[in-house]
This record gives sequence, C-alpha cells and structure tokens, in this order.
Amino acid sequence: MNPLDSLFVLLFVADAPATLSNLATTLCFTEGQTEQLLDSLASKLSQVGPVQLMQIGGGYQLSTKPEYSELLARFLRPQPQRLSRNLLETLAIVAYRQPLTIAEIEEIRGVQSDYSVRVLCERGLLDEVGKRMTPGRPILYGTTPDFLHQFKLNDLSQLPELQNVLPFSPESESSNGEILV
Amino acid sequence: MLNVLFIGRMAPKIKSAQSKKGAQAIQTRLEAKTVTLLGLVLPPPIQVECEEFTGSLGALFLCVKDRKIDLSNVPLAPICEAYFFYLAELDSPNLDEAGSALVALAYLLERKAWALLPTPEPEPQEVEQCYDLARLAFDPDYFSGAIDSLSQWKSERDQLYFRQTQQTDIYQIQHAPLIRVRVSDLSSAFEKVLDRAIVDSTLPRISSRRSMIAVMREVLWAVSDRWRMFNDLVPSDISRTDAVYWFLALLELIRIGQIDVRSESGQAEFSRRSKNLSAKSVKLIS
Repeated sequence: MNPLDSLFVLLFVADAPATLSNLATTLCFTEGQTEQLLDSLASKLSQVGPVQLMQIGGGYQLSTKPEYSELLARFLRPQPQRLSRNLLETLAIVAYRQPLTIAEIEEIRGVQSDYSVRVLCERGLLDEVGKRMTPGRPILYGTTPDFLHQFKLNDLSQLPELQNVLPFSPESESSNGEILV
Repeated sequence: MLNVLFIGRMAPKIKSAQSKKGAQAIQTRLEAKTVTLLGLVLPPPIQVECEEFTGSLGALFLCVKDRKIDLSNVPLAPICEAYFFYLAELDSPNLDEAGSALVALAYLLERKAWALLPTPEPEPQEVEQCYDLARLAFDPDYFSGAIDSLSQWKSERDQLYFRQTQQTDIYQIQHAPLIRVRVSDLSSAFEKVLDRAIVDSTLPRISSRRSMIAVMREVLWAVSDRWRMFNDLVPSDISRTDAVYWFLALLELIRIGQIDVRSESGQAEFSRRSKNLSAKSVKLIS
C-alpha cells in the first residue's frame, strides 16, 4: 500500500482531528515520517481535488475546499449558528485569560455576563474546567476543543496578539488561588 | 559669585538708579509679606546677590518658601557668616530681629539639605504576568481586534465542511407524530395551568433565568411513565412566566421524541417515551 494513500484513507474516515501520534502509531511510522507524509499529502490535495488537509483542533482533518461551500450548503442545509458581538467578546476574554470565573469576566466587560457564558457553554465553546480555591469556590471556565475547531484554530497560541496585553501565563493563576478540578 | 552684605539700617542695595523706585516698591512688598510669615518681625537687612537671586534675606526666604527659585545654586554659608557678622557688629542686637533671621536661615538650611539629598530613583515596576483587570474594564475596545479575528475565522470556518461526528443534535427531529391529538387539546392543557398560575411580580428578577435546556430537564424529570395531564406535572406554585417556559419545553420534548402525547376525551396527556429513561441521564445537547 502506498503510505500516502494509507494516510489519506485514515484521514478520510476520521470524524475528528487525528493527532500526529495516533496517525504515526496506526501507520507504524515515526512521527517525523508521518509529518513528512502529511506535508506531501497537504501539498498534493491543495493542487487537485475538492478536499484539503487542515491542521485544526490540535490534529489533522480533511475538509472541503471553500469554493464548494455554496453547493454543500444547498445540499446539507446547515443551521447557521451566529455569534453576537457580546458572545464573541465573552469568548475572546475567556480564550485569552482562561481559566477564569464569571465574576472576572464581568469585571473586564463591565456588564453581567452569566447569560453569555451559559449560552457559550450550551454551544460547546466553553466548559467548566475547575473551581478556584477561594471563598465561594467559583467555577472556572475555559475554552473547549470544539472552540478551536469552530474557529479554524489548531491551538490557542494562534490567537492574535493583542496590543498591550501580555500572553496568558498559567503560572500567574497560582497566586489567585489553587484550581480545584 | 555670591556677594553678601550686612547693610545695617541702610536702604537695600539697588544696582540701577532708574529702577530704584520700582525695586524699592517690590522689596517693600516682599518684606511686608515676609513680616507676617516670620512672625511680624523683619529679619535684619542682609543683602544677598548671586546669579540666582538678588535681594534681602527675607525676600530670599519668601521666594524659597513659594518655590520660586532653586536653592541648590544659592550658597548659604556666606549668608550665615553675614548673620554672625551682624550679631557681632551690633552692640545691642534686637533679639526679635535676630530670632527672625535665625528662623529664616534654619528654614533655608533645611530646604537646602533636602535639595542636596540624592533623589531615589523610581523602582522599576515589575511586569505583571496577568491582565490588569481594572485597566481592561475601562477600555471596551481592548479585545476588539480579537473579536474581529474570531468573527472572520468563524465565517471562514463556516465555508468548510468536515465529516460529521456521530452526535445527536437536539434540533434533529427524530419523530414528531401527534396522532389523534389536536392543537386545541394542547392549548386547553396550557390554559388550565395558566389560569391557576401565580401572576409574576413586576419587580426585576434578582437571579437570571434558567436556560431552556434546564427547564426541559425539569419537565422530563416531572413526566413519569404513566399518562398524566400537564396540570398535574407543573408545580403548584408555578408563575405564569414559568408556565410558559414549561409548556415550550414540553413541546420541544415532544418534538424531539422524548415525550409522548395522547388525547383522552379532549384532555391531552403526556408520558415519557423511553420507560427506562432517567432525566439526569438524558443528554439533551450534543
């Protein structure tokens, strides 16, 4: 069997992003070899065919090319899930500052945010990731793997750098209280 | 170059004849002000002349007190010597005048001492490893760049299609047969509950309203395996708003096939569809 084709069929049947280690183990290759194969497959698919290889949600997955979106939308009739600016604002704050409590989100936004958090949780973009060991044991929220997938991200480091905002550092959280998971 | 003179009871030393009148007026005004500051007594007429200042000791005191000149460039030792000369020269020095000069000199020396002390450099502020929440709160556009990026990525992502996962979407209609159940049966069931429901308070709610998913779980928990009317399912103290929520949740559960409905002599009855279903185990959302 051609290794490139083997890799393609694995990605073809995968209904979630396949990790590099998982693909390498299945193909009995090293991760380096698998990565080379993935690069070859990505360049091959980008030139021909209606699908493309994407690095998304911490793994690799096949997707259709954007030029087929209208055709597929007519066929699948997906329910559009629009996110209002308020929801996007809450999501951005959690994405950059996670894990954090609703009170901290409200402190940043200056408005009540429990509804936004609840809606984002129901949509699977945010989830409870623990509790802060402070009085009241407030729930900490963080983004989910589905958030990365829904926003075409591979990991959180791909989020754009904000002016005057330091990157998120998990070590800083220890000063605010231990996280109880 | 400093020139300090004790000029006794003479008039203050004036360099220019043309400006004599004006300078005298200023000197008098300054010294009049000095009198009150130093306790109603003028200091002796010790005249100070240097690059930074020209005038009497009282005027120097006043200018320093008002932070009008920089004392660090005015040497005080010759002024003190002039003061000693003044004390030594006079046969019967005026103690009030001498005390007033002493107060002025002590003040000047103290201010000079403070001025000569090295200024502590401001400590470099440690770079915070987390967001300044208070600062962010005052800048609503802080995350605007990220929001725009997320919005753009979302629209780009919506143009891509991936293999679907095996998830049961809450809005995916499994079955929705309403056999021998009329809309009027459902509406009359709702009306009965609405009639006995408590009128909502006009005061604003303290707590936020629960999501529809939570209400659906509650409804599913209330519905049992045997057929019951909607009036028997809802709590006795339900409010009108909650009754609406309960009815909408009930309709949604019927739509997704988790609750069955039938009509018995014009009365709609409801029952849980899966007999071994636990409300807590029901996964309402994917």
